[in-house]
Amino acid sequence: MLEIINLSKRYDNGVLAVDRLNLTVEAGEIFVMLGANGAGKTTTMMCVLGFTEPTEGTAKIMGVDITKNPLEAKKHVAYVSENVRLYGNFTAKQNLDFFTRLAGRSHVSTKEYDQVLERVGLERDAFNRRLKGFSKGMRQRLGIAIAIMKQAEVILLDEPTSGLDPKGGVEFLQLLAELRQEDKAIFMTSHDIFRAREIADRVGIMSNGQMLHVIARKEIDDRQVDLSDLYIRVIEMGLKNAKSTVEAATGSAS
Amino acid sequence: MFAVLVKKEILNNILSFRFAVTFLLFFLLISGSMVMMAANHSKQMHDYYNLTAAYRQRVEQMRDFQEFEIFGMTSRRRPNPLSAVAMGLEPDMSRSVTNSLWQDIEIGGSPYANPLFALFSTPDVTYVISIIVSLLAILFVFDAVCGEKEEETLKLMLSNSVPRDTVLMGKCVGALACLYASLFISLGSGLVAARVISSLAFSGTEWLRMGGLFLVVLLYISVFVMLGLFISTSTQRSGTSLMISLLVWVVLVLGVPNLVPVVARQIVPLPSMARLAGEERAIHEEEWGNIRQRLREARTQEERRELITEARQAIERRLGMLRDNYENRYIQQATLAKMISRVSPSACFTYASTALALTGIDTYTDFVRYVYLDFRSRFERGIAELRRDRRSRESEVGAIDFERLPKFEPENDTIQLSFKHALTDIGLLCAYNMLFFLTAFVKFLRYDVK
Repeated sequence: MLEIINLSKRYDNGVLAVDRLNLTVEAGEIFVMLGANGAGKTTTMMCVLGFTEPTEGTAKIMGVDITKNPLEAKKHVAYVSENVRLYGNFTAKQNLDFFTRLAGRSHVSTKEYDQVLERVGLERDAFNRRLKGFSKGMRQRLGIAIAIMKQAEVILLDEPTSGLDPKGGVEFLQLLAELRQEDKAIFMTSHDIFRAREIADRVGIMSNGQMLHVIARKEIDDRQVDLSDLYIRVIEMGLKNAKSTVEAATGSAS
Repeated sequence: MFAVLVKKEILNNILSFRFAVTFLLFFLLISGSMVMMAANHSKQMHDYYNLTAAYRQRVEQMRDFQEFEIFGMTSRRRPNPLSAVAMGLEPDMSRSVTNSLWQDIEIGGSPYANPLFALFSTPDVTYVISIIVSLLAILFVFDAVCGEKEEETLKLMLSNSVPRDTVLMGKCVGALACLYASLFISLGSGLVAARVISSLAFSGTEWLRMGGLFLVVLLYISVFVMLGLFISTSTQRSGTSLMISLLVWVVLVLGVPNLVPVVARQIVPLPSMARLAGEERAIHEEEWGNIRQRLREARTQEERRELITEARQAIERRLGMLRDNYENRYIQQATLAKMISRVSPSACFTYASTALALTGIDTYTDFVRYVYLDFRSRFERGIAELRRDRRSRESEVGAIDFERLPKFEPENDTIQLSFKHALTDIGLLCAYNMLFFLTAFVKFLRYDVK
């Protein structure tokens, strides 16, 4: 489980990138954080990974505080970045082997590597090919394979679907659904409203460092909410008017 | 965890184009230099034996001892096999030294000097390492950290439960392992090839010196790896890191060692040789002028002789003071230059390697001292003794026994003394390693991986 508790980050230049963010992602849940560039999504993720020290608040991964015990907390989290580049001189398997061993898993069989690479949809002939010739989609799949091999309870995905072709996007969402089935807590940032609509259990809308609104999948389905419309309205109106905006968009007074 | 990181670094390095180029350059330059310098040494040894034998033959053909005294004695220093690795000041020491009773001892030109080496820097192994290997070493790691940041692999790596110090150590050991392996192979092949194609051979002590030299080389390469890591952890982009690395390399390897003598000359100026000669002339004129009137007034020959002796002594004393003063300032200037130049690891490397190879400043100073002080007096004593002996046996005419001539045997430092001379520079190389690694470490702990 991932908990973000009253997290704020103000940079040295005075910019408040994240403002008192509170969020929980449970096991077996996919939370998608939607927001424009500069909304604070990546800063949130960097704080959760311990790469950026929060000005206030903290994040806990499986109950372990990232600011107090980062090495222990990182044992429980896997990360997939927007641009999975990896080591170009290595083959897919060599990359996978390195990161798996780095995650503390040794004595992993070749068969297991093959299985996970197949699972993420990488062509068999690419397993032993150098990454230099890989497309972005192929690298992204390998990034997911690395995250899977870590066997972490929490998976953080930073804009993972950007640049994926439609087929790749669909397969990627299927894979996320499978991981949800395996009780992983998945926290994903995205610009992609349509894919968020398809896969997310909850969607958070973030702007100027603030979480303006969080809406559950059930609510979206029950009220036939147009997520794109909601997103645009919420962003335009800002936090003060978010509640009324949401009510207008979802047709609820709750 | 550490082993995983080191293995990855080594594999990543080995599979890179950069490593292929580095290895090729190491191999070609180090092995090539070894072979070339060994061949040069063989030629030197050949010339040395031939010239010594020819000289001996000529002396033994002389029948008149006076002829020998006029002809003089020409001695040669045996070429140093370690100069094939670290040439240093060897060309200034592999020279003929001529003594005769009619003229002062004189160090002549080297009979077997390669003129090309005088025109360009001698491409010995220490030169290749000092200039080219140091550049390759810094270029090997300039993007070790910032490059991984750009590729976003650093973020992925540190999203695992890996301490940053372990990551940095892994990078450090991985880079050093690749560079050292290239060095081992290149140097080993060079030594084998040199042994096969030339007569280059080292004694037991010389192998120990080679061991010391090798240690200094390892330390020197390591300094540039640490420096590269420091620059890499201080920058966010590999382009910036490359520019800074090149700039720092130019300053430390080319700038400082070449500029320091100029700076030292400004801080401790030495009078020109022309001025020194002028001052010497003035002393002569002054002292002789002082006694001119008294000489005229002297009544007896005895009085005149006393005045002349007095003037000569005064001149000797004043000239001695003048030369001592000049020498002191010269030593001050040289010491200052050496001290300042140690800011550069390249200078430390040169001092330490040449000290161990017996081609450094200390060996050169000892050599000059031996020639002008020890050997001159030994020659004079030896020849006088030989003359007396021949006169007593009434054999003024007859073959000269070459074996009885004073031997020209400049003593070399013992290995312990050489290490002692190299100790400061070895210590400084260790200190530079520590300094750059610690600064890289501190920088990396705070490094923004985003």
